[in-house]
Amino acid sequence: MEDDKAKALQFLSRLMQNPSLNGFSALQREDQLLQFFVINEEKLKPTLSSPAYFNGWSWQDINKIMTDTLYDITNREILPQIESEIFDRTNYAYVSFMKLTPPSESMKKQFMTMIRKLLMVPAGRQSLAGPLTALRTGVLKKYVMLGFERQKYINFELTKVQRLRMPQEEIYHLLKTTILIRPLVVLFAPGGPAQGANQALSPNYAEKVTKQINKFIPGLPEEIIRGGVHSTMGFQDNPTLEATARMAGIFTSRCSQLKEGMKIDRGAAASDQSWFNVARRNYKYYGYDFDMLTELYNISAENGW
Amino acid sequence: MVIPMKKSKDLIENFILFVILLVLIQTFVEDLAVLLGWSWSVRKALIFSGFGFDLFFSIEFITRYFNSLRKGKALKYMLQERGWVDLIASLPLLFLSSGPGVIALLQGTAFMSAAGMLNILKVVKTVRIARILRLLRLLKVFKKIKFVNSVMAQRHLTRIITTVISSFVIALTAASFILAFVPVSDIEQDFVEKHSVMAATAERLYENGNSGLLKEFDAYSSVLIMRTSEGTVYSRYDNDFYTQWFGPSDYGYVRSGDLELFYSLKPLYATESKNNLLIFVAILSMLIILMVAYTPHFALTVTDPVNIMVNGMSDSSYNLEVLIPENLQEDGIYKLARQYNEEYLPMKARNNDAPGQGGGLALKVDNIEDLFK
Repeated sequence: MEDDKAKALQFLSRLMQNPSLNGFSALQREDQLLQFFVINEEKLKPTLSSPAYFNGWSWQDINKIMTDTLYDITNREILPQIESEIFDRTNYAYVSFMKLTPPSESMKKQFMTMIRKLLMVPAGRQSLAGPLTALRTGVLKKYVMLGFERQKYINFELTKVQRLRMPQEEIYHLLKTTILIRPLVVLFAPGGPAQGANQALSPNYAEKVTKQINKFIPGLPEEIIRGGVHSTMGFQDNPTLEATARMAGIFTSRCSQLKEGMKIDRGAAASDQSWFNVARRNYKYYGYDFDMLTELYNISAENGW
Repeated sequence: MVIPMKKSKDLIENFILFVILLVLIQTFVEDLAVLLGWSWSVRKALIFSGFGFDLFFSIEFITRYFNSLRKGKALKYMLQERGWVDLIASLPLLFLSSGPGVIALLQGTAFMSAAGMLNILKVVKTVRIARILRLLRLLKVFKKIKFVNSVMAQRHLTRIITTVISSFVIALTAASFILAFVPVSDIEQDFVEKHSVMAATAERLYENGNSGLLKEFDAYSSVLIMRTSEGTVYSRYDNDFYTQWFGPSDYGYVRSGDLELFYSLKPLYATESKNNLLIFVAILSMLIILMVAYTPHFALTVTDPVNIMVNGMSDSSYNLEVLIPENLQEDGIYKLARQYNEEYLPMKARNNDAPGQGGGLALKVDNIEDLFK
């Protein structure tokens, strides 16, 4: 078994070294490789079932060992990051500004347990890619900070509509929690976790999911969890969505497609600028807040991001 | 050891490129040598080297032409691969410029056998005009150097540069040829007539026994030697000086009665060389301006947007928009870019996100062929 794992690891390591995967996060890279195995089954099968690798194995067995090995590789990379985000790098003091019950000490462990559960589901792993990239690369932070300072639409929505009376740093930490809660919705998706969170949630169902998540993370106030769940809902159908939920939704999508270190060709718009502009044209399809996208687009254009 | 065909072809092409650069330097230095009055031995070496280069490029053209003819691609070579530049910058120069010059040098008589000095000068002028065609060799450099990272840009820029420079050179050459044979009073004619008058004056002075007054001709720097049947009656310099600084083609000759006057044609040649250098500098400037000003313009307004759209359409994870300059919005290329930005990219994003589409897959089997070996 160990020998088989070593062979899988060797094959995967060679695949991962391919330059076309440069710039992808661990979860994005994992998703790329899993898709690659599905699409190219016919071409890969002769090689992988040859004596050099898994002599005579069925494709199902080959796929399983490859997937398990790939999950191990990715987990080794992302688990320390998630633990660091939940335990050390997120300040939950924003809860007191919201006049909510302060989170309990065990909340962080409950949160981490849920994330571990999520990592056992393929769709859950996919849905974590965007949030983790948003946090690791600092993309979320820079836009939240600038969006707040500009005193325009984003600031108005956060402070006047959502009534978040707290410093921008605290808002950022609230958004961090929101964006990390969002993938947990997959675990309670209609049709089961395997279906992923592709289906839009109705307000009633979202409320049920909120309660479910709250059962597993009772240390975190329900309002915070609700924001995370709401971030999976479309703004056009739910115009009262929290600004933090709308932002978490946008940045999850943005960062799930973010390719770090991407060369910007001469004559092309910068990466974020292009993404926000394309998203503006697809805002109805994805249920984004058009005005929020416009401000984010303006921030990216002004800063060459 | 057998050198691979492509490698040896590259080696030959690089050698030809090197020779083209050398001949451009040679062309410049040859005119500079005339203008600055360098010693005859240096100028002679430059004339011979010019002949060598003309012979080399003539052989190159003939080889290329017959090679393409053998493959049935002569027309393609002449028109599309700019064989016509190879032709104009080789054989006419060999037959009209360096060839006659070298023959005259080898005979040691320059153009002295020609009927009259004016006709001689016209021939000299024609030969020098033909030298302008050498500047077309600059185009050969562009044929061989890949100076922009796009086949389309390279082709367009080469076409523009070729059109501008060849029009300039050919028009200039043609106009100069025509003007050389138009019977109008010009500098050459004045120059020759002035020395005829001087010869007549000198002859009168000599006939009247005033040979001492011939010293007065020191004031005319072009007057070199006066000779009668009795021998040399006036010489500006000693023989060593003439040997070192004058070649056969540098002497003008006029006879009046018994007196022969040899005068220097260098001032006329210097004027021609100055004109040639001016043309050389003008062409170089045009080239530099086209390259510095037009190449980036073409790249920014044509190649770059096209490359971005090609990347966007061929790479599923590439989603960069084309930046559309406000003043170029009506250009066809930017109208297309607008469609790409507003229609194609949003559609591609939706398609990539559609479940089960495998969209956004950056890794392709073609990328990992080594894994199957």
